[in-house]
Amino acid sequence: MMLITEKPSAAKKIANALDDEKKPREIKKGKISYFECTKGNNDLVVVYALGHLYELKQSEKGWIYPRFENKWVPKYEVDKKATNIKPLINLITKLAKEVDDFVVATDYDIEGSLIGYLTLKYACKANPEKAKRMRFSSLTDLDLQCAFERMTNLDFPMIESGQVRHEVDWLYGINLTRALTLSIKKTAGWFKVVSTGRVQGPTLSFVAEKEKEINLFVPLPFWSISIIGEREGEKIELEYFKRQIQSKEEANNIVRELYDQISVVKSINKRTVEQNPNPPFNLSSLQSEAYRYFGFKPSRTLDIAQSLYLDALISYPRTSSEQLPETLDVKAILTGLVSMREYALMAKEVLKGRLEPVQGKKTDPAHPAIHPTGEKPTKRLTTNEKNLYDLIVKRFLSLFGEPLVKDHLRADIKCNKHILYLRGLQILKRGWTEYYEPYFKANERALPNIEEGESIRIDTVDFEEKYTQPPARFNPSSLLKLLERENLGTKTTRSRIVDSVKSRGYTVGERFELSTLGYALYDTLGQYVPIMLSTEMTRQLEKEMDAIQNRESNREYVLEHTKSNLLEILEKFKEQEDKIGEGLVKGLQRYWKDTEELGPCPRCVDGILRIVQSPKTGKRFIGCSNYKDGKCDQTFPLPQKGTISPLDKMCPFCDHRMIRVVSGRRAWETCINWTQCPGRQEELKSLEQRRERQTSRDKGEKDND
Amino acid sequence: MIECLICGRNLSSTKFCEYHETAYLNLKSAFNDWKSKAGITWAEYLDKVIHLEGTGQWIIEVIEYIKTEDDF
Repeated sequence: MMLITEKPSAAKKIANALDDEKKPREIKKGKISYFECTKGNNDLVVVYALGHLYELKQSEKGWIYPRFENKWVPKYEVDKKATNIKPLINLITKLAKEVDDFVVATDYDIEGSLIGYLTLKYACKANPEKAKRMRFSSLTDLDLQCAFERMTNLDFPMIESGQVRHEVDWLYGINLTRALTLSIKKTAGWFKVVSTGRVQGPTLSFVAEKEKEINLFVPLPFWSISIIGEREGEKIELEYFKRQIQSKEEANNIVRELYDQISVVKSINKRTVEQNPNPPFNLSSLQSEAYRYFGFKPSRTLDIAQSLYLDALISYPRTSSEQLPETLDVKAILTGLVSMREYALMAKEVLKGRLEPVQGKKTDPAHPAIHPTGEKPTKRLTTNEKNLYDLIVKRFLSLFGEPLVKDHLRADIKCNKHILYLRGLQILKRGWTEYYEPYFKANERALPNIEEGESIRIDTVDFEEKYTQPPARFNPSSLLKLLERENLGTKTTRSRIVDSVKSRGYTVGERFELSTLGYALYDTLGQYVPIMLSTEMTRQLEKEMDAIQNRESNREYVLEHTKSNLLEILEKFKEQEDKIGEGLVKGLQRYWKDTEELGPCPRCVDGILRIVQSPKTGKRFIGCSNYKDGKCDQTFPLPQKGTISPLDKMCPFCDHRMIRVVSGRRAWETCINWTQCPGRQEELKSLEQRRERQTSRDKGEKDND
Repeated sequence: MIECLICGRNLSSTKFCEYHETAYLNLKSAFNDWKSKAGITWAEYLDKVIHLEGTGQWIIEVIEYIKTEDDF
């Protein structure tokens, strides 16, 4: 019997869980391998894929559009870098010849099911109708053994839905990207790939709409009143009942009328509030919380969670569910956590109570909410893995906690016709938050011991002019949430789409600031083919793909419908190709000027300094545009990590152009002459010291190994 | 003249593209609010708004353009 898994680490876990003696044999064939194990009377061969082994490829000739015909081919035919796929497919094909029964043991979701199906069909040349499916939500021995005992048939509607998703995305991606790219080539003769896709277009549109609001924002003034009262020699901060005063004159009057007056406490209002634990994590809430606490991009959180899942430490992370099924053995998970020093006390405490976790509303038919498995890590976790694991464990523990109970207190104070507030927040019972530290913070503020009828003298009172603020830009987490709310993409693809908007150059910076290229694309599509930015079209397609999974529609219908829609779009596009190309070329010119040009060359004066990449080493540096003509060889080195954006100011020390470097969450400004600049020698020295320290640390670690 | 005086995009009014024209209209309409709330003149208003942290980029560009005109 052959088991097809999704990754080498999953294959090892599965072989280990199923082998009677827990000693599967790894048979190595060059750089790849497979596992042999025995379960009862069955001899099992466990092979692995490396994600998708097959991809769609155009079956007609020509880099033109429209192109609607495609076929599944081994991945190495489409991606020249996928050199390890060919020996893997050959190995699976060879092993499959000796096998009668096949089991798909990939992740139980759309992509996993499709990977298993395509491997069966093309590599094993087996009949998928006869194959079996293992369904599991974690890679623990128990889950895997149960899944093996309770194998089912393949989920064909799910496979068909996955296949159509790939085909539809291929049709839109290939044709629209070619249309855009060829319009630029026709206008300017450049071959610059400008891509868009079924979900990428609407995502760009969300970012652009927000950017427009921000760019068109005019702040309006308002005034806020700050008041300090005095009671028995103690200073107390009071609030004016209106947060915003709409005119300077009114603010002035309030200050005059309150100054040095005696106010009286009219009433003290207390409101006791109970707050239940937050629901269990699904992928989206985990990504959002991990961004908030650790600054992880959603795609990074998914990668780390996937690695924890492959180590059998947590359940399958690609889930929409916020519920833990009644069948889940929470007692066993908690008992497992007791054996881990960091969680022992908390897990013991939880075990004493009723083991009924709080549940959320969202469900997922394939997998439960994300939860720890209770297994101990068998290898040393990286810092990021440790952080994410801690967040998941503490969220899980908090589900069993009592509600948080807090008192909101507000004293209403009257001073002539004016009302002032004194607020306090007191936590009476920490409940579940005790398990969720440090991810929960309450800003407690004690209310002074005052009573109704007491007097407070107004000591100081002042007003401050403030201004309304523009809406906040998206961050990776808020953009991902919006895609989820709009039902665009899937839980697996959304984080990649969010990343792609940036990696294609349509946005710059951590906060999704639209680039001039992004604007050009948005403007041009908006003017000539607005449907490519519309959420309606892609949301309709999502519905159709869901309908396939629910057996309410079929592949042929959805593909026909997609092709006829696409043909209509492409015909309209073709009619206006010249104008579209012109708009994109202008945008590209502005984009290159903004992101790569650094003003006139200080050496030859008539050349322009530009950020360039060495074709030999791949390293970036600043060079003069006159270099090609052999007239000027001025260069400046650049930091190799991070995003660089030219600034509109000069260095106060050496008068060279300033740049901004953003690497991860760190951002700094320096000049292009930073290695020679007299004002930056201290910076250079400390950079050198940091490098030396890092080198000696690396050396020490190597020696220890 | 077929290009926006500020950014070179296609014209939507006599001087500006769609974006800078909307920015200009927003700037004019917000002045009424500023005048009634803070009692300032058009020139004072432009001087103030151009330096505020939340002011949009297109608004800033329009103010810079207006300031280059003699009779602003």
